[in-house]
Amino acid sequence: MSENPQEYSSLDAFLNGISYFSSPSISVFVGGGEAQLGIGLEIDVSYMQVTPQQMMVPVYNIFSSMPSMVLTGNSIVKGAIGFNFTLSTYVQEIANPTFQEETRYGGSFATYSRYPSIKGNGSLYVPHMRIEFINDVLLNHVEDGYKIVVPTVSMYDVYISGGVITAAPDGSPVQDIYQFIARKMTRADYAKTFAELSINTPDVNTQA
Amino acid sequence: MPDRTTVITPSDTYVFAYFHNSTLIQLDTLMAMTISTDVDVKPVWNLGSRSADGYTFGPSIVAGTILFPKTLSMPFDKLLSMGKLDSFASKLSAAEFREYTDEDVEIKPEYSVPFSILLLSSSEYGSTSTTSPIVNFKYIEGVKIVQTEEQMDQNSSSSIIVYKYTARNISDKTGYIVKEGKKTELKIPKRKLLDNSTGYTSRLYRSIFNSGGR
Repeated sequence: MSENPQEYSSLDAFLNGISYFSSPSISVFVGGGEAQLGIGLEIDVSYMQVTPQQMMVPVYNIFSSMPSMVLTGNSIVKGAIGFNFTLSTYVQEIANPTFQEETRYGGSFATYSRYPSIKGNGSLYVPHMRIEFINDVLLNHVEDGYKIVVPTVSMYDVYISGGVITAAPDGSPVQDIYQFIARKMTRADYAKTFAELSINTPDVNTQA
Repeated sequence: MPDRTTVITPSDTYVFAYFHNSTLIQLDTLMAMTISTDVDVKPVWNLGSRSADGYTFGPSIVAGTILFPKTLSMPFDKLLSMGKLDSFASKLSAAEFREYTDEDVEIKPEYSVPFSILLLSSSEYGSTSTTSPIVNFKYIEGVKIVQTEEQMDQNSSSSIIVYKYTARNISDKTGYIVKEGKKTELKIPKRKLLDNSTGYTSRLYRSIFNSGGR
């Protein structure tokens, strides 16, 4: 990084992890902890929307046109998560005990349970779902020990329901779209080295 | 002395096709091929800024064309009508100008299973080197034929079949025949197919296969 901020080039910015994100940068995990990047059960997601709702209630008295205070109302996190349809049971199998080791929530928040489960009404309960934003292009330019910034969004006590199947006669993949509500959402940015990211590199030894 | 700038001509390049864990089949009648990569790069602007403040990257794709001269059957046709993957792979030699007249073609090349292509390049000049990397491997992984086109007209001396393909990934490696004064065995590496799905998806499939379903 240049000493003079005027000389701060886009490459500097890029190499210093200041970057914008798009869909290839996003990974979604079930389980793990909020600070444990790359840990948990990674799922293939084609669409994601998260809407935190925090009701704010203005309180007025008769002598002012402006609110004299603002009370905090109820909060909820709502969202939608979509999949390229592969298996009917793709979502419900997240609660399968086979995957318990990965889907276990290992963070510090108090959740209803540490493990995912299927509720009586058929919805899927997930204690923790984490979205990671990793600039995969930047990774090609960093060396061992170099830290990159990884923004994350964590949701706790997530209840996933629905499963709207949408098919169109244009050859595009069938979509399986679920809705969810979550009790709580947190945002955090972490600086991690490549090794700490636990990223699977598919490259194998190709030297002749 | 040759170095990394050594020019490689098409006649110095051998092209092989293969499926995962199968034998490499040389596409020895290949006329030409092109390889393009494309990434949807989008500039990011903020208010108050005229120039791009950064970039985001969309999905990437490898694409190109593979050209064969026209024969009595389409080069990949027989391959596509094979039931088992092993025989399917061996019949990649359909591209060796074997002419099939016994079966009608029922499957379009676009429905073929993706395969991989290896381009092995050296040069006459480079092969005399005792120190420099002289062999170039280019892997095109997950080649998927998406369009087939026969081109025939009266003026051309030969009719050609053009396969347009997309692929999942591409990589380049440089190898040695002699390294640090010692002759090295030239191995054609088997490259593991890139698995884009998460481990969960493949494990779920395995679990369903093993249990018979759920």
